[in-house]
Amino acid sequence: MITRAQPWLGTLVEISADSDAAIDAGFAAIARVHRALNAHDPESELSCANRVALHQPVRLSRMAAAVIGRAQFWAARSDGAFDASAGHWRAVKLTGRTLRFAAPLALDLSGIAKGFAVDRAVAALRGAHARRGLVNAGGDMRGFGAAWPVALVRPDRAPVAQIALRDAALATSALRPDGSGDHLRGLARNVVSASVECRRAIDADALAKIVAGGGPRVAACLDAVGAVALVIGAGGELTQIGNPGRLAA
Amino acid sequence: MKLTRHWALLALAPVALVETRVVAKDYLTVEAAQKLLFAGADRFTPMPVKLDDAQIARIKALSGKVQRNRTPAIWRAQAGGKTLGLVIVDEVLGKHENITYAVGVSPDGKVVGVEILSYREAYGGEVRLPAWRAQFDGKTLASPFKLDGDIANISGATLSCRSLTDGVRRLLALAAVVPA
Repeated sequence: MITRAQPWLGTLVEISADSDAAIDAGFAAIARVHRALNAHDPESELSCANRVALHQPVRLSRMAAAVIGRAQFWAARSDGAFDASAGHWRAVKLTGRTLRFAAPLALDLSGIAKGFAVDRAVAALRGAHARRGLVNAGGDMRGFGAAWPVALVRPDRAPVAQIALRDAALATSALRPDGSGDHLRGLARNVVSASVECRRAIDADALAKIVAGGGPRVAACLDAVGAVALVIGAGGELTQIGNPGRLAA
Repeated sequence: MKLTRHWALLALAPVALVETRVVAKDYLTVEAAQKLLFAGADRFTPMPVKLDDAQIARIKALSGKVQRNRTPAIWRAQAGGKTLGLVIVDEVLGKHENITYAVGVSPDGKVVGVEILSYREAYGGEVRLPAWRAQFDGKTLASPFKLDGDIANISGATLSCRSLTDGVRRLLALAAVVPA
């Protein structure tokens, strides 16, 4: 087993697999997502679409359409608790691969692109004939072919649980160590961290934000993809949400 | 109400932090990183450099960052006497993390690749976990467990690579000021 790490997507991405060739393919997949969907790069496909989509329809790449489509799916399911457009998701009109904005807005896919990149890297590892692998983008991860041990830590870096990740994805949304949660919209009271396990990392990524925000749609959203969540409260207490039995299906 | 039905509660005592532990990971040797960055090279020649004040100032002007190490570790990647680029090994210190990394720079000053050589991060250490019947996907918890080399994967703490991004920018400036 070889493990390498490179900086992508604003974090450290770590890939474990059988061969350097597979790991190279995994990082190449991550790099493609990074270049297309980086909102901080004015030349990225996302930035170009953000500039134009209010004024005229934009034809997206398959990659961008897939991620924006999934972001819209979770915005609708969570009634806006997850929203890549900061409150304007109903004005984001995606038809096939054609994007239009019905109001001035800018999409920021940072809440879901890491998970998507992890999924793409896992597909690339498998395409390069890796029999087992783990891709970890700063805590958003997915493994296959083995039981990968994962420690869940509090935002202050104290470990609270250990799980084994087997053919599944895991993502965590947490307060920052200084207690600020401005990157989370409407963090539920007394929640310091929410981890979600399900099949695809793109869904785990979005669901971690939805669970951290609390609200009446949490259980239904988890059920939609057979996900299970582990919430860490301010007092260190752990709460599980969702039905783990569904994961086996 | 549907939500309450799904809140399978596990009431637990708060966890207690015992000590700080450093998670240390060594990914690659310098030699392995060199070969990954310039697969076509047949030799890597050390390039002894002693940066003077003017060069340090130039790096600051180009990158906005201070190059503290005046004798940076640089190799020239060569194939049949032709230079393919430079490999620079550097270290950055963040708030929690300490990263040693290698950057490959092409002759026209572009990043060929970045590979992490080693990573050190401080975590709250051994924690006495309550006897929790783990239902989280039916997995079991070791109790107590500690973070060490056995648990390589961590989810939950913000992991920043800002210091690394700044470091790469500084090394590009460094590559521009050293003689080719």
